[in-house]
Amino acid sequence: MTVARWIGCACAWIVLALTASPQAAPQSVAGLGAREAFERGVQAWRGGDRESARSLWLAALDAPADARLDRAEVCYDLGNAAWRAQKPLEAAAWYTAAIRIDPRHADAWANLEFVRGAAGLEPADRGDLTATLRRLLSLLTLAESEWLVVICALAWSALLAAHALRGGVLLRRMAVVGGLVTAVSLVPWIDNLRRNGRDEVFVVAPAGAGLQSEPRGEATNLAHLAAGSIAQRLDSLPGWVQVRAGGDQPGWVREGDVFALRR
Amino acid sequence: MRSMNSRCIAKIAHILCAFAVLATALFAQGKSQARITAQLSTGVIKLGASATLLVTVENAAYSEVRGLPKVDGLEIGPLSAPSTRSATTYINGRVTRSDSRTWGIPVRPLAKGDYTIPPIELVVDGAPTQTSALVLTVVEDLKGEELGFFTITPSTHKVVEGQPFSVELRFGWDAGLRDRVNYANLSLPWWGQLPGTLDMDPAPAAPGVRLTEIQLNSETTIKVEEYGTTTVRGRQFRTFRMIRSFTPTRANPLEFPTSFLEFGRISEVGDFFSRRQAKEESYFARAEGFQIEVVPLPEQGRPLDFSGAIGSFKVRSVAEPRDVDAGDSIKFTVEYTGAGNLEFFEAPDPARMDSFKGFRTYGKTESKFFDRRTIVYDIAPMSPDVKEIPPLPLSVFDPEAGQYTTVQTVALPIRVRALAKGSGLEVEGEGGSKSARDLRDIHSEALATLKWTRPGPWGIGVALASAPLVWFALRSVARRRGDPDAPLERRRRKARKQLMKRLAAARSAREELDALHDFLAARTREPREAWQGRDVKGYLLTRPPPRPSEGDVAELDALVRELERETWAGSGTALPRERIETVSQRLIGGGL
Repeated sequence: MTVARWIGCACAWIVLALTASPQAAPQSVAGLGAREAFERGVQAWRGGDRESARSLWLAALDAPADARLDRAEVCYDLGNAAWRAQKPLEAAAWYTAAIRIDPRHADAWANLEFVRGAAGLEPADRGDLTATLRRLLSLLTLAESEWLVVICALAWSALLAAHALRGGVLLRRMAVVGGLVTAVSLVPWIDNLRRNGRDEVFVVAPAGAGLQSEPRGEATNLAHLAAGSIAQRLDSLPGWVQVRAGGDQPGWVREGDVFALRR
Repeated sequence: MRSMNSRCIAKIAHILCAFAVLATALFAQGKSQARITAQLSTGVIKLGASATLLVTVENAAYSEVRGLPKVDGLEIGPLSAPSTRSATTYINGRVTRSDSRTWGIPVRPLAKGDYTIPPIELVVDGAPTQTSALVLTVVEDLKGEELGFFTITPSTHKVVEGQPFSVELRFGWDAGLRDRVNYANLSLPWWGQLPGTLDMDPAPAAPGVRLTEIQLNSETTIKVEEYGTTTVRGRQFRTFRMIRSFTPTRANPLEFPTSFLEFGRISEVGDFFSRRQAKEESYFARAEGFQIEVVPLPEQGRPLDFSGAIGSFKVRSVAEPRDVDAGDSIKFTVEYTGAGNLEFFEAPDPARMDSFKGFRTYGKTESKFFDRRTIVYDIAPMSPDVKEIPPLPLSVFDPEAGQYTTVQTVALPIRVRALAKGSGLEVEGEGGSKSARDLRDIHSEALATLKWTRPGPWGIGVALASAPLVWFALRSVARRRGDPDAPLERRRRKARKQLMKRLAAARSAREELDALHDFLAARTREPREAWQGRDVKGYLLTRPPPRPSEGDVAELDALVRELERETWAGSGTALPRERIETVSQRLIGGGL
């Protein structure tokens, strides 16, 4: 019994060390700015004033961060606004940004595939094995993937504890399986870390974007980034963004030709 | 546990070693693609004449000859500086560069006989290697020109790189010699040693032609076609023929040194213990050497889609079926025939042609023969607007005309019917419905749900590290009371379960007593014999705590006595099972 109490205290300590109580939505006045902008944007949209709706939603994103506002929904609505403004590539970029925040946003996925098809781009999810695996890996947000690792590690600890106390072939095998499951649970987390660490841009220019050696119009054209392609953002100057696409040499593209996916 | 750990470690070590070996082998394989050839300028020479041994190394960054072999009866050397040659080719966007170094080593015979020149040792790109061994026959006199004949006729004396050519060997001897000839050997110094060429598979023999096996370079045998007797120089000769084809891969002259046909009679000599074959008579017929010039493909006029096809080709095509629904597969078969490198050019790809934009290409299968190449494309028309399969072009360099031409199929009319519920293939909605599609509407609520604090890398590290720590700590604590994984402990834990099982099957007091003894022995980690005839009260009440209560011990003692009485002095009737189970349960609860 003493041992069991010790295990329980240890687990409780681990859980307390890791968790905090769920954050309640702040009631401060500052938080209302973003939400109010969003709600007014919805009203404007319903009233037929799409341009105002778009401006208000952009203001909602630019306002001080509000934990009560789901930025993925704002990006999603901005995607609809871009589509209605006859800008399919920008719409695809907004939906891609929404999915980066909320990977399981079903409507964003549906609209993304719709606008990509209309824009003549390949589907975001080609349906092959690679695309399916990639989508599975990105199903969880960073926080969710971290919690998955913690939960698997705790379960593994419990199995190891049971094996330490009781021994036996069955518990040993379950502990091994638990270790493997924990190791596999690390994969989405590592993938999330890798993706979150990258600041990416989406090429929204219909004719694609020219990759130039220097941030000036007369510079040498190194390559051409196709419309709808994604590049890693390295640096920026007024009117220009330095990017690297596919591990090639970095170059500069015009700021208006690309769309920052980190929102 | 320790043995299992060391077995696991050994298994992991074995797997890592296997990976290391495989990686090394793959690395070594991919490291050098150099090709080494060696040939003699002639396979048969007269005493007093000399031959040249040519050693060629292709596509190596560095190569050198380590030393020359010594052969009794031959003077080989000296080694002089090599000659070098480089060539660059561009085909279908691919650039291929080839370099070669050739050493010419003089060989002077000192006595007649058959000699085997051992392999020449070289160092190529840092790795030691060697050529193949070569055979040289030295004779006093080359008689036999009037008794035999040997001609080698190339299909052409000038080709472009990539254009196949063939050499026809015709040889034979006077039909009147009959039994005086029972062996023949072709001495072809260039056989398998032509640098910058690919040997092509020989065409199958014509039906009804007899094949005869003769020696080749005194080392191996080869099958040649026999044509009975033909008239040569006004006399009847027993005639043979062989055709070999090659494809040059780079622009350089190909030297075919003088070749010899040796024919005559051999017999077995020796005694009972050792016998060998000796030549009684030998005759030689010579085919003069020649050269084939290989020139590079011309750059001028080369089409952008040129994929390496060289020759004079004809093409025909069929398509089945011709009446399909939109999206259905059509097998479009294209067959190329003619003289040229049918096996080597890249087949045209309809998926990359604007004329085929009304089709979707799913793939192709190919079959290649020496005289034809057949490609079957799997294509599907996407709408009823498609009325025909357009011509499929192939850019070809025609060596006869000396220019690039286009060979294409004819347009094949087809009929494409619309799908039953739509006008063509489009992106379908969910459930396969054909209704109009639009975006999903905006979301008017953007209230974020519960947000949890991230554990972060430190939290994950703590959780992962705590698992083995917990295991070590608890294991140490648990082992103070004995190894929970030890056989005795496992037996102890299973004791009650085993007791219940055996009581359910017991049919006599003896079986119940044995089951009870086994249970008690397992719980106290002793053998069964320790409990046979034991004073239960005296043993259990004097054990250190924890121990069962006096009442439970008394109950057990009474139970054991009754079982023993029934077993040894009574009728052997089994006691009620529940009583034994209850006693055992109370004993365990009491700390047994």
